[in-house]
Amino acid sequence: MDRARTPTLLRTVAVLVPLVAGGGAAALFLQYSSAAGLTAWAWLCATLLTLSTAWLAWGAMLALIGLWPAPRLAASAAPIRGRTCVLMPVCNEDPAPTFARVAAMMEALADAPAVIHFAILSDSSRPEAVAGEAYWFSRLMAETGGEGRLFYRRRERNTGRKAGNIADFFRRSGAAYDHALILDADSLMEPGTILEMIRRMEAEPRLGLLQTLPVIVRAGSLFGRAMQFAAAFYSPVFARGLARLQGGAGPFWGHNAIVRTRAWAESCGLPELPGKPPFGGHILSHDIVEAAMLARAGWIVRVDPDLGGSYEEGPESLIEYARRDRRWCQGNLQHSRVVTAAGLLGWSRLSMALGIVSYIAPVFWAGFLISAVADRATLPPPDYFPDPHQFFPVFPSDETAKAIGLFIGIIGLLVMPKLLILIEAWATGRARGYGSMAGVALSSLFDLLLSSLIAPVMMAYQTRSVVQVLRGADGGWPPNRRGEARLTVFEAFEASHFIVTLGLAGLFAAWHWGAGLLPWLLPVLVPMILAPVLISWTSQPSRASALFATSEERALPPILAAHEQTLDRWNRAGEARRDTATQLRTGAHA
Amino acid sequence: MTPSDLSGAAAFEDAMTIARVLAAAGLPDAPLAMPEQRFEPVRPLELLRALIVAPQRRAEP
Repeated sequence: MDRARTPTLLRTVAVLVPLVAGGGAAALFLQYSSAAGLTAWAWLCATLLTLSTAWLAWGAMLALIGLWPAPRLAASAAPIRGRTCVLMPVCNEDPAPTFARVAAMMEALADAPAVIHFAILSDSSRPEAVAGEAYWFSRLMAETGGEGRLFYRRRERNTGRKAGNIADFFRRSGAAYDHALILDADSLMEPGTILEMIRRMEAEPRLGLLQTLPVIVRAGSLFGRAMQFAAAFYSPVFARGLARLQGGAGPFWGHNAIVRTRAWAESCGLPELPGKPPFGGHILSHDIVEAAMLARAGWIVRVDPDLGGSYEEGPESLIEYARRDRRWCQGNLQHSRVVTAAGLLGWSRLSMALGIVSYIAPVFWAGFLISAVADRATLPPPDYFPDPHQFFPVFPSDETAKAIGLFIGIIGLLVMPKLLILIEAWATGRARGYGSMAGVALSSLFDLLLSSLIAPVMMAYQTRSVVQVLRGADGGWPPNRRGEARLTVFEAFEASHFIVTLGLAGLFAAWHWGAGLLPWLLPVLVPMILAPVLISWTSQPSRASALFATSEERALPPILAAHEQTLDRWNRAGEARRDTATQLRTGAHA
Repeated sequence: MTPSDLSGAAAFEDAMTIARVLAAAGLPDAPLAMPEQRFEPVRPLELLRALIVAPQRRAEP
């Protein structure tokens, strides 16, 4: 089967169904509103509801399309001819855990029947990070004996940020390799996966980029573990749906993907966009653009969700998640400058447009809620005697059933994919990796409850991000903060007081102008008012247990175990060395 | 831990070792041209055509 074949029919259905669902939701809403008279606000509500529902239905479609399991491709044992370099771009990261990942992967690949080099590409600028990288790199080199196959390069100026960092590697050293495996500082990949990716690249000469589905691991907070469970349990199905629609224009998520150096070099030289940030300057979310550019040049870009053994770490608190989301929001909205570029494939354009919509969708929901209250506030009082000569009053028709139907439909779009995925996991036996069926069902239920509580808070953060970007505020590229995430309620309040204020204002507005709407708005307003408590509570440590258990948590994958061992060894050696240094300074050894 | 945690001769020796390792670990010198791509906006009619007619994929690179 030609995996790059364009699935035209499936794509048409996947696009049409959400549009029909959006139209249906708007029609129901207009019927409901018409009972009291259609105002301009009601029309605005209907428009926003169309867009929001279509977005939800798109997600549901991806799940439906991905529901049927795909046969896992048989691992190839073909000899590997090409040379590969594993790239690990770092920028002010903690060097010990980062370099220990390289050590673990190098060790695991020591006997691999392939030429695989490793390059740490540093954009670090903080003196302590730079000094730490130098120290830990020499340690890494000494342990792995990696002369000639392990490299370190630091740029004085991080022009073009991560994309510029990688481009600099290709311009300096790209011709030495056939493939480059692009990682993130928190990425880990099993050696078998790396070799299989190289073999798939060699088996399909038109393949320019092959993306894996990274699984989130090592979460330690309630928020982190809930996200880890959701990503591990639901994402494979959504990714399979995406893979069935991708044709040759699949996604690139920036890391845990292998690229053909020649294809990358000839297609992915990113220009600087004219104008100032946030819309001009360097392209922030470069990965989606690079995937589109490869596809534009005729190369196949593909995600293979059947490739396991690909790991990353995720944010541990809602604040960290929102910080990362702010950067992604700016990057995705910046794509509005690229989406019309000549020569891009239609599906690449749609992917970019959907990326933009994913950040605007919360604004649609917020706009819908505000418009609904405004509609109620500006509604003229009911006229029971439209004809001055009539004897009996005319009551407006009761359309509440339509509102309830609409509400159930929208909740269905949110819940149905997760429910179907739960059934799929049970039917295929996939759920066994997550523990007992009861445990998995409980995890799914709690994930649903937690995500419902978090959604209004995220809606507020994302709406603020969109407003900031549209006002021209550049969020820059703050370094990722990994590890400890515990927040007090006060710390959480400092980062979320605007959400509390908005929630209280919304409560007052709904109570004063749209009392009938209050019960419908409470599930949104209460989490907003309690945002600091919610953020602090979910940032607290959560021990590995049946709730939110993942298969990686229950049985540590070999590469993660190897990384932990290396890091433990390094930390012990570091402590011993620190003790010696202290003794030398204080003369205690004498 | 960084070299600044050490003191005296041990620190100097460590710094020299680190400098030697870093100097020997430079990237291979094998430049590859990476031309800057362009993003000229498509003309509306071309966009319509691009959406309707899928471009021919290359046969073999």
